[in-house]
Amino acid sequence: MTHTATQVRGLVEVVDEHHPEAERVPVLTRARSGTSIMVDTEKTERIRERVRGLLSEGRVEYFIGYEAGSDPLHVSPSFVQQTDEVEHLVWNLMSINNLVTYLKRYRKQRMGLLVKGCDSRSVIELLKLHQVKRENVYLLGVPCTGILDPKKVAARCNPAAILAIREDHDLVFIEVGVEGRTDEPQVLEFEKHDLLFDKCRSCDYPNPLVYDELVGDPVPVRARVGGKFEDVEHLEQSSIEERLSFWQEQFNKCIRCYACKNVCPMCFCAECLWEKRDPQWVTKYPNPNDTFTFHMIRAYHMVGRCTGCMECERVCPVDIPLGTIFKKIEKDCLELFDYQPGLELDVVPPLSTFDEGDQSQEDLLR
Amino acid sequence: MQDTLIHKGRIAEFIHELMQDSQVIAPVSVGGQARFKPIESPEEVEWGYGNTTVSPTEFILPHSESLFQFEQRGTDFNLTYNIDNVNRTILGIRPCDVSSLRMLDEVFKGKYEDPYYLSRRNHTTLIAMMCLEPGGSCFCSSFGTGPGLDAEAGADLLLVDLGEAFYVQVFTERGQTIMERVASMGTPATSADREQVEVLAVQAASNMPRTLDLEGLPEAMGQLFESAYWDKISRKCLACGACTYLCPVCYCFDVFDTCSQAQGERVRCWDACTFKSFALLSGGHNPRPSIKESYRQKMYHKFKFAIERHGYALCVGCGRCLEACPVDMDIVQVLSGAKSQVVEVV
Amino acid sequence: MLAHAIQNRGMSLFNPFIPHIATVVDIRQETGDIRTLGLRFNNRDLDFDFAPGQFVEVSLFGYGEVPIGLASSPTRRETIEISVKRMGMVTGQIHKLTIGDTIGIRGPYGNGWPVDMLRGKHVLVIGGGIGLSPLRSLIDYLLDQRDDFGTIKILYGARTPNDLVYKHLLRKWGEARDTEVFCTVDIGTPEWDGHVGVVTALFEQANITIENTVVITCGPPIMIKFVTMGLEKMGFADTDIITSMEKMMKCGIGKCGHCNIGSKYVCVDGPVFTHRELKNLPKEL
Repeated sequence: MTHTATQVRGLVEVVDEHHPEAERVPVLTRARSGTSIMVDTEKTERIRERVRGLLSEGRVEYFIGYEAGSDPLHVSPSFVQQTDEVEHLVWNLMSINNLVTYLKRYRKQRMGLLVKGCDSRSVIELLKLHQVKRENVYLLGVPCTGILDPKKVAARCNPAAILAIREDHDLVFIEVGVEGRTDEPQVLEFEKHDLLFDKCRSCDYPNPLVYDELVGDPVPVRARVGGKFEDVEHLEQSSIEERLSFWQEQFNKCIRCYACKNVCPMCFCAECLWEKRDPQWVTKYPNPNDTFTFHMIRAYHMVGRCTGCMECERVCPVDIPLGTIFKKIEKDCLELFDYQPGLELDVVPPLSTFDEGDQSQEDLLR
Repeated sequence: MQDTLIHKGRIAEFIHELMQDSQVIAPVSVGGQARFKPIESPEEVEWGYGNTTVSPTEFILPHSESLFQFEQRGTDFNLTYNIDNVNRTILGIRPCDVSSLRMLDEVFKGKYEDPYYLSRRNHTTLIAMMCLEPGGSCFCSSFGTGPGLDAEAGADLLLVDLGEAFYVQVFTERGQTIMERVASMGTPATSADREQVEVLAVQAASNMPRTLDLEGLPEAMGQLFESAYWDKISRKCLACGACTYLCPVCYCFDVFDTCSQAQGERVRCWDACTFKSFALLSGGHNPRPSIKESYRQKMYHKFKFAIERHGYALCVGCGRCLEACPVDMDIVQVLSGAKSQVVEVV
Repeated sequence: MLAHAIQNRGMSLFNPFIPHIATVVDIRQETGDIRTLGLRFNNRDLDFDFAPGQFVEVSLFGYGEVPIGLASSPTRRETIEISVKRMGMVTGQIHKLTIGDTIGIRGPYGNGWPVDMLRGKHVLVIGGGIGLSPLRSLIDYLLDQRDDFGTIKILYGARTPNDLVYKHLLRKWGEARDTEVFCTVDIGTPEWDGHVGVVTALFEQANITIENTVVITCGPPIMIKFVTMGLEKMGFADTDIITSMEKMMKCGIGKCGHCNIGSKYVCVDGPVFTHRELKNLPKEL
């Protein structure tokens, strides 16, 4: 690892989140293109080799992994059908998408899928709910040390100037080019946990819980930064009126694009109530009542089902903290039923069973 | 028309004057995200915004609006409606969004003029802000819809940030009237100022991170409609409406009634061709049964059908569709890929 | 009735989204799920002029709007008639209407059948199911100006004898000068003594001539497909086969984008197209 003299440590505190122009790194004129993607060469090669094998042996019809995205901060889901397409596959620090969401579209085909620890939990829950047949899915598990949040990176350095992103244990080094200079690029150094997605900062399951084979050795659980339910607990301490006004304000931003619903691996209804047209039970237009109802219905359907992949929050174009709702549900489910979705195949979801020891409605209200 | 410099120290005064006879819509911070909203004081304006997630065109073609209210009286119905004629000023609208309105005008004029859209359009003053630093997803220079703005684009005034002051260029009579009212706040621009503006425009254009070469695209798409390319490209699409709802040129809408039969309203609201039920017939037949067909329709409507019908693509290169896409589908890559398919065949 | 003209910054705008109120004056149950409504506009002064093959947007306030082809001919103006099949929410409500109820009507929209092109020609009308409804508008129009047109042959098919619409008219039309009607059903009943089979099976029996003949057809997509295939095989030019297309529609005035196919908006550029035009459109029927 080479460090140049220009490394900037702790830049995080200096940058104003609302003005992430990062003036210290002038714009480097460079086309936004997927060709310059940084990959974890070892894992990528291993994945390509295994997928080539799976396809040529006829074990899967499709393999879904990641390919280079539109810029160095993004990857994009990749559907590989032919062995010559295997070269598109990559694995890197930006491989965030929960690819399990595509399984609902390919229930009858034999699919290969790349899963991180968090993603594997969605598979377990889908198996329990009989949405997927285990023999139809070949799972290539990747032990994951955490994925970088493009928004957090972009708030700290100009994405258009990024030349390379490297990690070394708890540090991330981002090489940025400086316009008009051909000498050594500037290297910015960051604490990795500052750049990680929130869900990765409190990840309990970095290693896949269900898989056919692993790519790489299992990794240790990252030391947690802050409590898992911090934001939920903070909201729980406020009054009902405060909570209502908080969520009303959030949902007023909603444009009803349904990205949250469509990206969710556990939203698998064949015909969604919210898109049903005849009869049209609910309107498409973002009136506050319908929007509130939309998010609440989705939340209630996810009790004992949401595995906390936080894809809904990630894809929301207007930054509604949807993850907080689902963490609240996860927390309640844990407290009431001692149940966490997506962990063990043989534990029945709490809403699918009845136990004499279950608390009654009166108990709950008390 | 004489161009003017307004020192930034007096810009609050300028906005205050605008607020005298119109509702001023400007970029403000909503939970850390810039969004155009009506402002109550000039201090609310967030000047450091890039391209806002939601386009300010939502003030001309809102997400939803009432077409009329109905009330049953015996066996008869009484219908009432309201045409919005509030004077508005959109301050800081980017050139790409200004251009998108000119495209929408074509749709909402024609044989059946849409009074709701056109009234709002006629009552809205556009004060554009030139882009000095394109965003990472921008490709407006491919369409000539930015980063600068010419007089034909339809803005009334164009502001250019020169550091200490805003350079104000007048495009229309309406813009001229405003500048006459605020004459005391500015000083006449010099030829040196003008030169600086031109340098900035060239610089911004050369910093454009991406380009889409439209040359030969509709012809290529003509050959490609039945191609397996669309199968392949659409596999990752989640069929949500993020790209459509954030696109300043997408205008498709749904119409439906709310409330009971005795009293209620007919509403229209944005719709997205990527939604499953967009083309579904009431008998259950869907001419676009899968994501392949709906995604293809989106691309063809924008980049082939619209060119055949209106003479231009329904795209201004703002890059919002890419920014919002949950799976990073890049319209530039998709269309360039389509073109290269045909080249390969040839 | 509203004044729809709006004064707006010197522009006079007409509001095309406001329906005219009309009263149901007649109801005829054609089949189990198809009924015909006779409608009269509450504004008696309204000059509602239309061409055969045009459609209206029918409003059931509180439920929504559906596009429906006009079934009556503009040559008969006391009432307008629409035939409606029970399909979804709005059409379901239309089936609950009783005489005296009011609904909304916007229109007429679309291009309509090319009646001027038909003058002096033989007309072959081919319909399937509810598709006979917009054809009825044309047939009555032709018969009301009988001398302007050559022979008229009407081929009509439905699923079962109970699904045949306008049974009284089918008989009447057959009695008109130089006019023949041929009916068929997919599935017969013991009482049915007519033809059983698809509508294309009537071609031979109808003794179709190609020369100076234009075909006007409307029905389910699968029927249109086989009819046009059969006609082209017989030697009909694709410009002489004319059909009306059904698409999801909302506004009816070329704005909402739902009926877009290729560079066409079915609501304003159609719904009537020649087979040649259809061939040049994307195969998304």
